Amino acid sequence: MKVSQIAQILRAEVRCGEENLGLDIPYAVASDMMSDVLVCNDSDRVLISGLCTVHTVLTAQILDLRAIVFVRGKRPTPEMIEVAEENGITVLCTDMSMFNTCGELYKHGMKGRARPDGTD
Amino acid sequence: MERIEKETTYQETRKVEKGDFAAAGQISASYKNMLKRLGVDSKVVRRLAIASYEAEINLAIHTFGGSMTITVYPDHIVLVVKDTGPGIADIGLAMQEGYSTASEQVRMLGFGAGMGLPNMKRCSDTFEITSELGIGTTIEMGFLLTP
Ligand SMILES: Nc1ncnc2c1ncn2[C@@H]1O[C@H](COP(=O)(O)OP(=O)(O)O)[C@@H](O)[C@H]1O
Ligand SMILES: [Mg+2]
Repeated sequence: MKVSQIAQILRAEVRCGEENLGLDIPYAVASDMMSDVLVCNDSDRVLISGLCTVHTVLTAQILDLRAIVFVRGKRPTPEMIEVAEENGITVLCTDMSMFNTCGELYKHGMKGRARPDGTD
Repeated sequence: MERIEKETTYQETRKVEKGDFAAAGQISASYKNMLKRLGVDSKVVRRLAIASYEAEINLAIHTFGGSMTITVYPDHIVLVVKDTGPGIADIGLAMQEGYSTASEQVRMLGFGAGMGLPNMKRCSDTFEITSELGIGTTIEMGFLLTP
């Protein structure tokens, strides 16, 4: 699924990383626990989180992820945007809940990927 | 790891202060940039960065402080993570997925799922942990550069 499509489906604001809007990201992982996100080292994933701290962006950076969706109206700080920009990570912000965010993306064909062996 | 231990290409040691969660991750991020510049395979870089990040977080949240030393050899990398206590009473238990003594505060910040140590082991090619109560814990991880 294209990053632009993710933004559109979630009616999300694109805070930075417009250069990735045409990028295809086939999988997603949703969690507020960064250790759980780090368990799978697949970089083909969009990170969906309600945890809005610099460690969320760092986790994406460590995993070579290209896009983060912050849910339930969470707003990243300028410092977080700066780190994301430096690392070519697109930051999307939606007012949708975690449940609805995942539901909408799943409905449109996004698949989950969270386990060490690369399954969902 | 017993390969060419002679020709060290690069070594760096950095400190992690007790409780400095806010800064935890900076060292691992810098390793990532350094190894990318050296042209190390991106999958190896990612595995090392994940293991290093979990270790760095642990130093900040579980220990009295410590250090991380990375040594890049021609064919492998060694990461040594050392702290000055409190030590781990039961390493077998600590290595179990889901076991965690992290505080509620740490959990609110996205860590403390009890997945750190097992993930370090999974991400590294060799993994050794030794610990003594009142002395500290040392973790040595090796990463082969040739996949
Ligand atoms: N360096 C360390 N010093 C003391 N205790 C540690 C250290 N590393 C891990 N532990 C203990 O092992 C547990 C499991 O660690 P880990 O797998 O990283 O999970 P988490 O950090 O999420 O709790 C920790 O909760 C802590 O009790
Ligand atoms: Mg940990």
